[in-house]
Amino acid sequence: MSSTAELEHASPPAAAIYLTPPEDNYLTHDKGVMSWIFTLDHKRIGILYMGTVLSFFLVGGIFALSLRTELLWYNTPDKFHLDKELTLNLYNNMFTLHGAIMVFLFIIPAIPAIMGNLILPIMLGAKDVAFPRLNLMSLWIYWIGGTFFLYVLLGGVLHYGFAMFGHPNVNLPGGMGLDTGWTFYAPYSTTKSLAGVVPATLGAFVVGFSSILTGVNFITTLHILRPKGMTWFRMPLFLWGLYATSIIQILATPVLAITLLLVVAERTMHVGIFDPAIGGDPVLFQHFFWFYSHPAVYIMILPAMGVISELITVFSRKHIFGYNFIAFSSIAIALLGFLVWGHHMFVSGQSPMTDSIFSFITFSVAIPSAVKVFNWTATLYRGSIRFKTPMLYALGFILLFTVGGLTGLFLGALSTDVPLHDTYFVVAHFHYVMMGSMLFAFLGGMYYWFPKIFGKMYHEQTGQVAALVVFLGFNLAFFPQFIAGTQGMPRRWATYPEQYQIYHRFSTAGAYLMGLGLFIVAGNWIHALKRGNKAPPNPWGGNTLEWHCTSPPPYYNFKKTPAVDDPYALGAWEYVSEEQGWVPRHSEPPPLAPPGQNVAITH
Amino acid sequence: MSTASDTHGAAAVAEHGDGHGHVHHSPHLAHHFDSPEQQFMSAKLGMWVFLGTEVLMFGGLFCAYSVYRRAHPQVFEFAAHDYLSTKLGALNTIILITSSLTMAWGVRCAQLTQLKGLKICLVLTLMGAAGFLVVKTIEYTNKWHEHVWVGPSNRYYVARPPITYASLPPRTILPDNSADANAGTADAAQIRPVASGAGGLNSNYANPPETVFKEKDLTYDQLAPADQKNVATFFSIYFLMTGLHGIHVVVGMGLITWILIRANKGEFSSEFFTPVDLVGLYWHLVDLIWIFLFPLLYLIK
Amino acid sequence: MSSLAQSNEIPAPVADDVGGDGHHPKGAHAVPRRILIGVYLLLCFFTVITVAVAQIDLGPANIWVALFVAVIKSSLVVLFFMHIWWDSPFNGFVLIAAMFFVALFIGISMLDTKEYGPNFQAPELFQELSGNTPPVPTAGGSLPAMEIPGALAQAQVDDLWNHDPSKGQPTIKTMKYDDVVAAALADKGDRHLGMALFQKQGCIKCHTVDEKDLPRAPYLGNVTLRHPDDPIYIFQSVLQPSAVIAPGYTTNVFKLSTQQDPIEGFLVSETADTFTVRDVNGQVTTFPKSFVTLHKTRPTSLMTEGLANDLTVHDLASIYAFLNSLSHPSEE
Repeated sequence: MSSTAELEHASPPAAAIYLTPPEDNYLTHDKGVMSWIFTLDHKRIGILYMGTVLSFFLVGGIFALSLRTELLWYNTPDKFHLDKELTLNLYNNMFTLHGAIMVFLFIIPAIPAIMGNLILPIMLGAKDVAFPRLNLMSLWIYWIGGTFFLYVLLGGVLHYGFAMFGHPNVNLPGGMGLDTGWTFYAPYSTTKSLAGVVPATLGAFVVGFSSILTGVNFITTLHILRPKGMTWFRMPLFLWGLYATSIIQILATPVLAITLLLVVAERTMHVGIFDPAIGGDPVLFQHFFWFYSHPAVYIMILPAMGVISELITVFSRKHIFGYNFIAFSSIAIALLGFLVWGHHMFVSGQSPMTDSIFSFITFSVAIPSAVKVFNWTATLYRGSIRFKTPMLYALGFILLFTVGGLTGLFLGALSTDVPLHDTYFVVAHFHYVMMGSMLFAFLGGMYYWFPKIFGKMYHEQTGQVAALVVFLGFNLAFFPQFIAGTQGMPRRWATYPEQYQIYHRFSTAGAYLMGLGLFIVAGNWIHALKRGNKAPPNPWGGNTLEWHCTSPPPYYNFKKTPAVDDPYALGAWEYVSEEQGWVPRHSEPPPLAPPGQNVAITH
Repeated sequence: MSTASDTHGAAAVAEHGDGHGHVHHSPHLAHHFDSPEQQFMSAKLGMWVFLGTEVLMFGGLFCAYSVYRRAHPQVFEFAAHDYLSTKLGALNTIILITSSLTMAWGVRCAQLTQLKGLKICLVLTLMGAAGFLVVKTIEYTNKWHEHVWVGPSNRYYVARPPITYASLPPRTILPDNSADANAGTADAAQIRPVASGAGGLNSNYANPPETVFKEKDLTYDQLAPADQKNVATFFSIYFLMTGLHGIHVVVGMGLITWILIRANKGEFSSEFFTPVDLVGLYWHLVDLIWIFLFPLLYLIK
Repeated sequence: MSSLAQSNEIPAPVADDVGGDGHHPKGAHAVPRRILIGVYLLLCFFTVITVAVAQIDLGPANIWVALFVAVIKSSLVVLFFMHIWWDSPFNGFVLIAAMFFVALFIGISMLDTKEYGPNFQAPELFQELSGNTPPVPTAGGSLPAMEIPGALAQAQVDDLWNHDPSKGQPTIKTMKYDDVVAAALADKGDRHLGMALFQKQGCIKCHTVDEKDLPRAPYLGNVTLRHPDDPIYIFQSVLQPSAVIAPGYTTNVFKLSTQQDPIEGFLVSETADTFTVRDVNGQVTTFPKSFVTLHKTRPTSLMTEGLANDLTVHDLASIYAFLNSLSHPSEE
């Protein structure tokens, strides 16, 4: 530990420290598979989530490409002389499983479970989350829920695989595949569908508990484990985003849990609450379902917005504009998001009174989101912008979220929703907010924290090219869908009138292009893991606390709780070089404590 | 949600016990917490947040109950009066309140390091829980014998054809109505209120029952035909609500047993009683839910 | 290393709910015994109150009173058993927030279901509006009232049932089929009781006994003339309805492309391109054969099993006596 001697020397004194490789970090600290599966280290749990979540993203993406391929021709079964019933049933399974896997196993866990787990405690200067063992349980529960879905997939593959070769009666117990749409509306899902509704809903039920327990953990951590000096309004905005997300997870997910249990009860015990033939009410099912699923979309977007707040400030070297507004708008979105679920039910038979109430409130929930966009734009203004890969995704986010958000207004307005409901306009809208926004923020965050988590730098130019390809592919895939939707193309249809074929062809081309871009991203990361340059502790010059420790962090994060500064006081750092990244600026009054031992800055 | 020391914490203590100069701290203090007070507050907050989620989960069932009862009040009067025993329900309420008392007393004992008192209270709570389940079993057995079980076993159940692969009809294409130029358009004048209801949860609004039920004891025959189809659903709601609550009671018993075992090993004292406190909170929530279930299901007149 | 080997300076936690007396965290105060007992007695008291109030008919106020008492009880549990009185108020706020959202959910769902209730339309109307010509009901409709010569009023039915001399004897579901038949043969039965049972058990809903009525299930006005001296046939029809199905009463099931639910009933007639079916409610429907996507018959009767399970042998014999009296009205 020669750091003391180096401290006495001339500038750049701190720089030398960063060249000292960390002798031990959380990745190397314990060895063996068991040390990973039974780990209590929030960072390792985050890595395990990362592997699983990205795998499910791949599966969901494969379904997406399959269904887009089927849609290249307006009359695929006829054109290729396929068994019509089989093809149409298979299509139903494709879009259902694409939706269910993406929603439950990718989008909802992605940023909170991966980046929340990896970064939240370090951003707080804490050693771990409040309940590390509960955190591990969340992970295991997520794995178990995912296994249920794998069972459904296996059943589907077996059934349709054999059916394609002339043996249509191969069934796994509990049904095969899932053809109800990810929204599994009653009474089809509760009575007529022969698919694996029960295992899939049980899988979603289990995954929901993973979400709930993560929410419990994060809320407690943020309330109790903030360090001295970090009041609520000195917290990084990413944490505000996670806090608001956790509130929604706590309040909304249990309603999903009970809805799923009711579906299972109805299918197995023929309970009849949602079955009109025996006196039930299918619209009540939709109330149950959307009471969770609308706030769920805010679970998806709030962490993403939190990531963007971080990226925009760091890559424009400017303090965030309107911190309080952004913080309050996160909470406002969380709360208002509970008041608008009926806007999914405008044409389902909901009464005009409730239609109007929900439509009116839906307009109000757009306001806090707009507040954020304005604040980010104001942050960019007169900033010193660097077009690194994370920033490219952040800028893409702002553009695509604006499009997605504005098109949501068409759908929130009662009269325009009626012709647009269940058309491709809706599909395009939610892909702009879920993919164009959330996925872009996810990729931006992954690139941003990649050096911190893995200690390796990725190849910057490849990252930038991939970002561009993804952006172009995404817009090519989904913009034509807005137009197709306004022309009347319904969603979830495998065959369609010929006039829409051109839109579908553009869309499929875009989907493949985007897939290509995502594969480049994957390659970029894998190459970086194997052969990337060593990453400095602070490659981007951020001031949040995770940049105050080594890359990768030691397993204990910080020996002593660091003192806290304004998370956006970026002037405290100065750039040295590519290899050394940013270091604390010494021309200013000394940082709150000198750089400490073991190559980590501890105070 | 116990916060006893774990390998992560213990290893960390061992790792830098040398340069750390720790003041002695309780073996129960997890290493990522700064003080036992902080750890205790965390555990409490976390538990309350979790209880909030349980409230919301049951809230969904209360919603189904409310919607359904408002639409078919006579069904509820008839079925609850004929098949639910107010006495047994009240007995269960008293049992559960008593077990809540013994549980709260047990937490108090743990806080005051009265270990014998703690064990006695936990055993009494377990007995209360077991008593609750015994009464519940009696009630459920009665339902079984009276053929008012959940689903198709219910004597009031209106059957649907079972779902089998063979019973699926071949896919059909709708008949071509191109000859009818007005197919698909609806004249507003054609929308008229329905004279005879087709059933459904809200059919009471389309066709209110012809007779006004003032008598105390409703019989099945006095229900409107649309209502008669819905009697089985009342039982479904009853079984779902009490069943889910019963599952929570069983889980509670498991938790209390676990705490009892740990109490026997002498793990609790005024220094550390968090698990007892948290299990107590869970048990009180189970009681809370029953406090609402009882009048809503058993006291319908 | 001077600055490094310092003792662990643990900064005090900044969380909002720090409090207490410095020795114990907030919320670790032990509840006094008298409060525990007092709250317990209050809870028991309120339980008694709520049960008592439920016996009084207050109309719609009953449920609000019950809920009000439940809120009081639960407040006592939350404040004292669950410690919120001494604990950080934020914890209680968490619970209140959860209940608020439950109330929001229930409130809006109830508002909506109440509002769209009147919009529930009969299936036939939907089909008219969507342009698919529905099967045309040619006769029947909703259940018309049936007149039995000398039908009993509800009070009389109840009276006869309450004075049933065979109450307390074993019910049919506890006996073997052969024993029931043998015992019923030996019992003369009481035709008045039989008439009451015919109404009470619901037989009257499906089986017509007056020739003027539109038929639904087999007409029973002359059944003992058609099966003279064969009470066993009648017993079997009640106890094992699917054993022998009367000609013309095979249950046919038709699935149509124009509606969700199948049409199930008796095939009344058939032409070159239509079927006419009468269902168990008496509704007669004629529809084109081209609408049929699936047609099958059920081996079981539309009459359900076990309708006599809760009756005694004497009751069954009485029903037979009643049916007999329809064919031979002068007999005692």
